[in-house]
Amino acid sequence: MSLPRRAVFVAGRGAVTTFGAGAGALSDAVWAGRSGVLPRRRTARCAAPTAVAAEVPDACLPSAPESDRPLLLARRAALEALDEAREPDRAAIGLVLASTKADLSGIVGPGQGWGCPARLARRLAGELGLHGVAGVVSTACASGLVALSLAARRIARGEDERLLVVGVDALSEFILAGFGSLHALDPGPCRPFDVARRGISLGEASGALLLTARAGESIGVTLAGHGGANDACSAILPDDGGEGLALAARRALAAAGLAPHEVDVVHAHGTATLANDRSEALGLAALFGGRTPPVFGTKAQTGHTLGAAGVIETVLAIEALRRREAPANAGLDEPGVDARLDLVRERRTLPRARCALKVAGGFGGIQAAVVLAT
Amino acid sequence: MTRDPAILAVGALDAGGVAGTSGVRGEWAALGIEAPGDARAFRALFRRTDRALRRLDRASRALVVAAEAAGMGALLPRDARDETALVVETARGSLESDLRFARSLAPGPPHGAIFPFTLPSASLGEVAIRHRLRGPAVCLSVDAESAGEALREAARLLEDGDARFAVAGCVEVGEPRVGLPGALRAVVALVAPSRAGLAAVLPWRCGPQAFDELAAFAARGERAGSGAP
Repeated sequence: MSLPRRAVFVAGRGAVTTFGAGAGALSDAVWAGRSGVLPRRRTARCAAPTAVAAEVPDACLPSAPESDRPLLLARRAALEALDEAREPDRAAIGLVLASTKADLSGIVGPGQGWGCPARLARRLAGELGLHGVAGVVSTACASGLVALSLAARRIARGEDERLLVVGVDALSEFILAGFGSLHALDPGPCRPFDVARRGISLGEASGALLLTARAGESIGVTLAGHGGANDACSAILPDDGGEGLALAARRALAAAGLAPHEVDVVHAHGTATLANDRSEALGLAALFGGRTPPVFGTKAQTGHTLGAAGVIETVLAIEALRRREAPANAGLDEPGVDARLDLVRERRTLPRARCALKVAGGFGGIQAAVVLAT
Repeated sequence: MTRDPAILAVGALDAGGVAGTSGVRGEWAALGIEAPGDARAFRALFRRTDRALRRLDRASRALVVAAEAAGMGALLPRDARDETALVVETARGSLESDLRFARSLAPGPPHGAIFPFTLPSASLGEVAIRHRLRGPAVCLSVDAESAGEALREAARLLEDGDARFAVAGCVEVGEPRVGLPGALRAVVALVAPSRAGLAAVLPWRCGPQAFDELAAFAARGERAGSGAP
């Protein structure tokens, strides 16, 4: 039996992506149908079986060693979220960080980064003058949503008043070659849910969401529920029927006190691998018992930004509620997944925009979902 | 603290050997097997085979063997596995696999079999697969070994009703690096809410050295008793 819990509100948003600095720049580009998956420049010399990636423009970050890139990305997004929240007392805010590999400088060279996000979290909290680190999540591509769950749980329980959730990952040869070694990369721009999809396009980004227990600080959105599950069938591939994803989403909706038919829009994980998109479509169809609400994904535009993905895509799910409109699925010509998935082909008005479901999955069979409500 | 969860079982593994409340107890030297064991060690210790073990990295093998030593398979009811959470903390993350993968980049095509293990959540997945655990799963990156964060997060999940049982663990595997001593250790505890009325094998631990204390308990070789649900 669950104990009564406090509501969790969103107070601030921030993002640094291939579209530049700013959650607004990200949203505007996504709704305009632009793609930031472009010929590789910064990582052009990295050996990988793809010509493209979604790199953050150099102009967004001060000149610094490569090892500081995750910190600089994270800091910029965090500052934007704090700014939107009108700079609450930072000494009373804790940090929850999500990252898959953080700083790899000690792994690939003489640096001090050992691919462990805890060190990055400590540095970021120190630079921002935050109260401290409340948690550091490294749960592969589901890290962002799992971090939001962890933070929401702590606030709901009364352990924290405000938590800044930051997701970040930077592109490197290690990452590009890694996904290349799994034959998971599309040589060109990825096409999530398309019949001709060939794999993912990688990206780098940071995203930040300031969560608060105080309704007066809200931008009009609550993190109404969250849930998690494990496929328990493969450490790499999702389960065939999307059962783990459906289970996580069902748990998030139950926590929010909502039924599936009350979901107005879904932001999908949509990595563009054959297995993920097929499994995700089946899982969502099972969750909704047939035709789904409008579904959109944005990795054809932002690239798959790994530990940042869950946070920046939650920013976009919130934006869909605020604009009362779902953006089109970029790169989608001919759907190649279960037809019950209502994939948005052109920007679509949401007659009722009160509830958005965001889902994600990652290596280790991890599935996560959050429910946003206005 | 009547709301403290109950620890139902513990398994632990280090460079010397493996022990747990399943009653298993073995030293690698005596077994003639290098830690953290392989498929042959698994068969010798647990009287059954796990052929997939040989393709795992050492962190995953360590976590899988520690979970087995705890005796989770016998203790966890089948109908509870969909609602059993899995929370693991690590200070080193996947350092060993990271270094192996980085080394594989230099001479030629990178090694696809290594890369999945450069994500620390892969080891959680291997435990989840073997015990069909389908509850929420979290991998926490921590500053120091034995931080106990995984136990605290598991307790939150249980108290909030988001899981009926929780498997909380830590895993540290890595060769010595600057500022990091070499390590080989995994500790796994099966935890349930106190309201479930199950007998604990030892009092709730979630202090700063919680996993050290759990490992010491496992090493004493006490078996799980009437705590079995």
